[in-house]
Amino acid sequence: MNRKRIYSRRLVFAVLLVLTVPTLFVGVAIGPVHIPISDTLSYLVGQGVSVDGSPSVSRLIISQIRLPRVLLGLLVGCALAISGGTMQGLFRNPLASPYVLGIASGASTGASLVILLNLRGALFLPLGALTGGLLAAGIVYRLGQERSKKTSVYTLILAGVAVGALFSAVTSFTIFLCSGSEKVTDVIFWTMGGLGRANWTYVYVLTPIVVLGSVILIAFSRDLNALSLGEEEAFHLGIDPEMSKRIMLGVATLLTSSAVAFAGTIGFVGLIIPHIMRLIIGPDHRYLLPATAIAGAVFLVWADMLARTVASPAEMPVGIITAFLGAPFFLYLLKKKGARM
Amino acid sequence: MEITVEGLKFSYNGSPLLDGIDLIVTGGEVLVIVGPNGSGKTTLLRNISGILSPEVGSVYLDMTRLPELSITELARYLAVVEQEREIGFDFTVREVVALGRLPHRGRFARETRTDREWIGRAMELTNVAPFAERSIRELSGGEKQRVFLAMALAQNPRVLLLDEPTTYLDINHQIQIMDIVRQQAAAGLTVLMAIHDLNLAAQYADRVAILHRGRLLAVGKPADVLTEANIKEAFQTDVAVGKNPVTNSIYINTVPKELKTPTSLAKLHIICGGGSGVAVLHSLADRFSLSVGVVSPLDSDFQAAQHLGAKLVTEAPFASISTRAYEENVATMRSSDGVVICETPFGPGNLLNLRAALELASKTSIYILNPEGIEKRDYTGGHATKLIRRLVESGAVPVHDVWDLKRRLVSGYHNTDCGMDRQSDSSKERALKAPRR
Repeated sequence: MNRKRIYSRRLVFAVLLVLTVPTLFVGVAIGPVHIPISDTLSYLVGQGVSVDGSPSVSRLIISQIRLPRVLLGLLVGCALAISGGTMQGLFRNPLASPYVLGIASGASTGASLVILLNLRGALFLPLGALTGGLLAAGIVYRLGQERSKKTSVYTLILAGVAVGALFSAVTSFTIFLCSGSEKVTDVIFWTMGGLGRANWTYVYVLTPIVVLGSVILIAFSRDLNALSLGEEEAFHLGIDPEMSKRIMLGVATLLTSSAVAFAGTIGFVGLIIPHIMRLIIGPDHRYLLPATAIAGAVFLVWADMLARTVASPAEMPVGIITAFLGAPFFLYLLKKKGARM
Repeated sequence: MEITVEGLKFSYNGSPLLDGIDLIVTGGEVLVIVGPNGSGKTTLLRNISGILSPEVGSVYLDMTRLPELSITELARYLAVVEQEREIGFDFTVREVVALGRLPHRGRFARETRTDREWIGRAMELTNVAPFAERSIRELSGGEKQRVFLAMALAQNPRVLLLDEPTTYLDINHQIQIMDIVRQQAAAGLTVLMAIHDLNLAAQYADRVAILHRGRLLAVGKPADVLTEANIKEAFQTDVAVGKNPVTNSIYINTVPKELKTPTSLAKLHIICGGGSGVAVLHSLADRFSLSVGVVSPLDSDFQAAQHLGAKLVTEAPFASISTRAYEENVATMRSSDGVVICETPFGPGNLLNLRAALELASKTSIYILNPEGIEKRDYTGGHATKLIRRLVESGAVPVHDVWDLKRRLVSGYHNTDCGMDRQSDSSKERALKAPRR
């Protein structure tokens, strides 16, 4: 059977890029508070000059709440998806996710400690989560080093499971110690993931990390292609497998940890999006990684919009939406493609 | 480009795997390393490909020591094809072949026209172009190996290392791979490969090296290296080495461990060839001690006889029966209790088998399968037909088919249940010397 790709790569990228514009617009326009579309448009296009010249409530909602939230969604979705795509390539396993190195559990531990110890300050929570995530990934990476200074991906996966379990236990234990406190609810909501804390500081901090990280990963996408054949085969193709692995693991870890630090552990984006894009444009990582980055960004903004409106005025954690959308689709793929996964 | 291996030693966990290897492979040459499992073939190739570094000694590509080359430089000179393996993702054939251009391209560079030309050429050479857009995972083993060979060739290497590239392939795909490799060597590529199949090595190698316990037992032309003594030493196996007069290459046949014939069985000599003896041999093997001759080792009857442990009188393939083989055949027949002539096509090459039978017609009983059909199998202008008629006239027994033959042979014995535990010589006489019509 000839497997001709139905969609040309250019078409896919065109569609993805075109999609980001309405995504941005809809993300800003829709929310629990009704804001006329004309106001939204005038804010986005006219850069803050509202019709009557005064700073209206609508303007404040858009500029201080919705716009940073949409931008954070784009950044986090991009970071998680491209890290997931990279991890799947590195581990030669389509079931790998950005969280294989135990980052989610580590970040949860860090975040829960910050919340339960009642440390206040704008960046304490993200810093706590970041520290936890990097610590977990660092331990896993250390365990994955063999005596010969080489990194075994199999040991990494197993160490990731074990270290993740350990950090989850620490989180559960701290929650148990603080049971009865309102803060426990905060911790649980944090672990479900969400963009509700979005503000401009988060966007400013995350933007350079995500942009730079994505560029580096895309630059290494050809190494990822060679590594798909195996590490020795990559060596014979002129790739230093150890160096490539280290750089990509490091960058993906940093991207994931940063995303988790600002948005909690949002599941499925990093697992499902690379997978869907691989089905659409094929496994060549030079195209797969950029496509995955854009698709992840767009997907998370739409999921967040649903999270804000489905149970309005209450807000659902976006992790629930991504899981609700992602899990069934994933099962569908699993059944349909069978062994090909 | 020349590969030079100098005093190479390598050990794993303290036990030496390679113990002082010196070897030079020159441009345009195919050097095949053979050796039993665990002799260090793969370790040697991995030391040369740069995956492993020798503990003592060096590997040079032309005049450059391997560690002085960067990984990318090395990949521009040297490509590797290994045993069949699985690929993580659903790459198309073309995408895999295109990976061969990686060492020639910068990190951000796109595919150039030169790249596309090399990819196209490699796919043409290995005949994978017809399925360029198919997924690598859907291919058969032979197709997959050709894709990996195409990837290696797209690298435009000066040296090609192959580690048992044909192990899991059928004979047709083995030959396809070997032919492509030979062709590339003729264009100047230096080829070093490890393979298991000694006959493939003999047929395709310019030189063969036998690796045994981490040392090179012998290096040189196939005929000089693949000798019975060397193979016995390296593989602990008895083989018969012959020469194929057509391709002028040697061939190696294993000799079964238990060739000794049980004395309690009556001896039957079978004249066959061209596969006409396979069914007869199989149906008689349990009750008789068989000998076969004269056949060539490329004949399926030879293989059947060898498989059943029959004594063999052989002649080189496609050659006429020599005096030596003729006399050996007659001697074997003389010591037999009977002779069976199968429905063999007779030509000038094997006509002497019938003459040998005629020589002994008065001394032993002869059974001829379907003598009426000889004219259709006679490619000697009537000589074979004449000989068969004379055999029948002088008392040979015509039989219809294998079952008829077996019934006649066995009916002469009282105790047929336990093979040929003959009661008396007279019963044997009855069965073999004076069979009832």
